Order: sequence, then C-alpha cells, then structure tokens
Amino acid sequence: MSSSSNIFLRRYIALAVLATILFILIPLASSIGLYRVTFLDIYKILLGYNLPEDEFIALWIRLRRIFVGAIVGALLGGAGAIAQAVFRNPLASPFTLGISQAAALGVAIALIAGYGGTATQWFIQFARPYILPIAAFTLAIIQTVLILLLAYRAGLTPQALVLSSIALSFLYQAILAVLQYLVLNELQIATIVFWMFGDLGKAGNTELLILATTFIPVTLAYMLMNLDLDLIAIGDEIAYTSGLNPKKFRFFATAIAALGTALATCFVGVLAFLCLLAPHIARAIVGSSHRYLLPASMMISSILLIAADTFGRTALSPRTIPAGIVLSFLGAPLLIVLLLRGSRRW
Amino acid sequence: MIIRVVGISVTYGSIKALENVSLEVFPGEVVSIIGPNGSGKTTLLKTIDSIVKPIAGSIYIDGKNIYNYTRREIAKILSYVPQRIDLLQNTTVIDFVLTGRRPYADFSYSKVDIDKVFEVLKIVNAEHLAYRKLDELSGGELQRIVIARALASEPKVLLLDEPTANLDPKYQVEIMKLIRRLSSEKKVVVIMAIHDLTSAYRFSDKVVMIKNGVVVSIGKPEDVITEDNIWRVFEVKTKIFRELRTIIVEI
Repeated sequence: MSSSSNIFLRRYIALAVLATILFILIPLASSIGLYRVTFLDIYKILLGYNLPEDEFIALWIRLRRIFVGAIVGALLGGAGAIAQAVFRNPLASPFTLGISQAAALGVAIALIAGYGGTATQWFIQFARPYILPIAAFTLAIIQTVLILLLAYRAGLTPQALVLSSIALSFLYQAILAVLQYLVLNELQIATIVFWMFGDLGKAGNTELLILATTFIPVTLAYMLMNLDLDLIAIGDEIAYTSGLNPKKFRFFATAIAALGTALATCFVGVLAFLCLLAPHIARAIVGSSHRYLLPASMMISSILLIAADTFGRTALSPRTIPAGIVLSFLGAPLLIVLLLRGSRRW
Repeated sequence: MIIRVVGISVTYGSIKALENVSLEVFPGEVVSIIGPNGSGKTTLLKTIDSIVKPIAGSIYIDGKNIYNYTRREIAKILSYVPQRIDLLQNTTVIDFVLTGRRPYADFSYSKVDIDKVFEVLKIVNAEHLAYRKLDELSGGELQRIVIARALASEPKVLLLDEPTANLDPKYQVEIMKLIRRLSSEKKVVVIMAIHDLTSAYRFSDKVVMIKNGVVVSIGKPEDVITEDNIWRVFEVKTKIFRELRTIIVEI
C-alpha cells in the first residue's frame, strides 16, 4: 500500500511546487518594471520607513496586477478543466466554447447602457463595476444553454460542438462590431477594443475587491464537484449508474464554469487560450483525477497569466502589451502542437 | 439477492425494443443473454439497471421494486459495464477504479476506498497495473480493469455488455473464467449479453435467448442452445458437440 500513498504523495508534492512557484512570482514579478521599485520596499514599509508616494503607487499597481492575474488565472484554469471533463472534449474551454466572448459582449452592452454613471432598475441602483459581472454572466449563461442545446438536441460530435461554438463566438464579435459602428463614440470604441484583448491593468481596486470576494465561493464550488467531474469524464451512462444525473450535473457544472469565466472576463477582457492550455499542462503533471487536476490547472493558469503579463509589461518597455496578446502568441502554436500530438489518442 | 424481471416492455419512439420479458435470477447465477444484433440484449441489461425505463412491467430486487430505490442505493447493488468506454488521456488505473467508489464517497475518497480498489484489482489479477495509464493497456487488461471498477462499488449484481467482444481467444477465456470465479467465490450474480454461443454454453447457469425483443427460450444452456433454437433465432445452421460443449456454425 506504500506505493499507493506514493502516487498521491507525488501529486501533493507537484501541487506544493506549483504553489511555491506562484508565491515566488509575487515578489519577482512585482520587482520587475520601468519604475525602480522592488518587492523589498514592502519590508521598508513594514519596518516603518515611509516610501515616497509615487513609488508606493507604482508598487501597488504592480502588485494589484499580480493579484488580479492570480485570481483571474485560477478562475479560468478551473473553468477550463471543468469544461473539458463535462464535454469529454480536449478542445472544450470557456474560450473555445464562446463563453468568454459572450461574457465580453455582455460587458460591452453594460458599458454602453451605463457608461460613466450608474444603472438604475426600479429601485435597485448598480454602481458600474458591480453591474459588469452580472451582465457578463447573463450572456455567458445564455451561451451555456445554447451549447448544451446544440450538444443534446442536435447530438453534435465533440468536434462539431467546438466548431459551432466558435461560429457563435464570431457572431458575438459581429454584434460587438455592429455596436461599435452604430452606437459608440470613439472613447467607447477604444474601451471595447481593449476588452477584446485581455489586459490585467484594467482592473482597479474595486474590481480586485469584487474578484477576491467572489473567488472563494467559486473555487469552493469547483472543488466540491471534483468526484462528479471524474465520473462524467468517463461517460454519461457510467456516471448515471454510479448515482449521478449527467444532464443536470453538466448544466450545473457548466453554469459554475460560466460564472467563473464571467467574473474573470468582465474586469480584464477575453484571455485567449489560457483556459484551454492550463488543464492540458496540469493533466500531464498530476493526471486526470480532478481532486488534483483542478488546483493544478488553476495554479498553472495563474502562473502563465502573471508570467505573460510581466513579459508584456517589460518586453517592449515602456510600451505595455496586454497579457491577452502575449497569451495568443504563446497559445496558438501550443494548441497546434497539442492537436498534432493528441490526434492519435483523442 | 433474487432479481425478478416481470413483464417488461421497452420502446424507443415507435420501435419496440423489448416486449413482455420476464426473468428470474438467483444468487450466484451466471446468466447469458443471447440473440442477434439489435435483438434487445443491451436494452434488457440497461432496463435491469434502470438506465432505461420500461413502459410496462417492473423489476424487483429481493421483492422490492427497483423504482423505490434511490439511484445511489441501486449503484451499490447493481454495476453495469458498458460495451466500450471512452479512454481519457492520462487517466491512471487507480483513479479510474476509484470512481467506482463514488456511491460510498461524499467529498473525497478515503483510505478505505483505496484499500478496496486494491482488493478488487487483486480479484481481477491486475494489482501490478494500478499505476499504469488506461491507454497503455491491452484489450484484456483494460476489460479486467473495467470489471474491477464495476466491482469497486461492491455490487451484488454485475451487468456486463459483451465482456469478451474485441478480445482474442486467450483473453476471452480469461475473462469468462474470472466471471465464473466471481459468481462462485463472491456470490455475485452475473447477467451478461454475449455473442459467443460456445462461451454462453460453457460458462452460464441460465441462458435467455431473445429475438426482436421477445424471449424465445429460457432455461439451462443445454436446453436453450439447441440447433433448432439457433436456427429460429439466428437463421444459421449449427452443429453442437455436446461432449466438447462447442457450437460450430455450418456453411
């Protein structure tokens, strides 16, 4: 039995290593940048030195990007692992299923409706940052229902499902383009365009606060599903005979993944490939048991996003390339490698 | 554990898949369901596991109607092994077999569950495969692992859909011997759909012969598997060598 504890121990060690990398990234990434301020300055503050205000702000902005990156990455990495399990499809992810794009459209509509002010509905008043996740989630859940209808009613194959989801995501982009042409002024267009390339710099303090408070329950929901994700990944019939209602669970799990995606997307925009790649890397490291796969995928996704953002911040300094664009450069070739390698097995 | 299938009828849309099928199975019995492709073998297995709901009739386990059990209770009594399983990348045998413990686990698997997994792997002689990946296994090894997963929920009844399909003769015999051993040692009831008439003849206590969803004959192998019955159901001429317990199809 010692070898059985070995395999589980190995997975825990892998998770611990990932967590360590993530924690090392915080001081590392926050020390790199145009402005000469490093993580060590935090100790100065702790020891009672007063940091000049501009240095403090520069440091906080970097740290904020890192925290946002860690949370957004984790939300997307988990959502990707869930999507791959419930659709039993290596190409499924909030990005390839169009959930991210739907959420981005929701954000755009909310921005047009309540730009620069508050939105009032009956007696409820939303300050702008709070309405964004709600709008993003509404559209994300609509896309979720559409995907599930396509999967069940039309009985699409996994490949066809991904292709039709990509078609739908083009539709969302087209609606966005129409909005840009007809409704928006230049400033709004600029905002929306930036939304199409995810950028961690878009999230401010309030946004970070919303992310931090919602992150915990969403992660908990992800993890509570781990046993059932293992089951549904084997097959609907097997899942059913082991006591799980696959259709109900698939909807519930996709809705949770859509919620995570909506939260991630509404404050930083669409991040291509992240939610697709992270679960694949995680699976290669810890195997496909979701008890380990979910946290591994979440942490890998956070690490990739923070690394991509730091690279984008510094590579062409003083210009900043949004993390979404860096991820596309990284993700597109990796996806092709994955397809070439995976065609034998899937 | 006594299973009584009483007059079940199943339809898929307008197509009748099973019509008024009745069957009684006693503890430790190995029952083979034989019949041509599309005759309703798989449907019968799925109906017994209440994956498919009949339009008429009922199934009783120890006198209690199966529809009065919760799905989780059924999962602890009956285990269904489908014809094929989609292979997942990087799935380790131990993780796969552990999923069979789902009816007993709430949030995570315990030491007891892991011990149970090794116990069932030992039963199917596959302990050495515990840390291998599913997609690295041979057909016979994979079939043993799939059966081990079904056994992990400690079922009283094992429902197997063509357990020897796609296996070479050596593995076919191995799997059939394993099934026999499970029924004699563990007193597990085995109900299986099977194409190989010789295996059905040699390894079962009871044979159910169905055609177009209707039971043609039911009883002991030597009473059911006769040249006449095979002609009626499969429309092929056969020669049965009773002393060798072998059926040969004539051309």
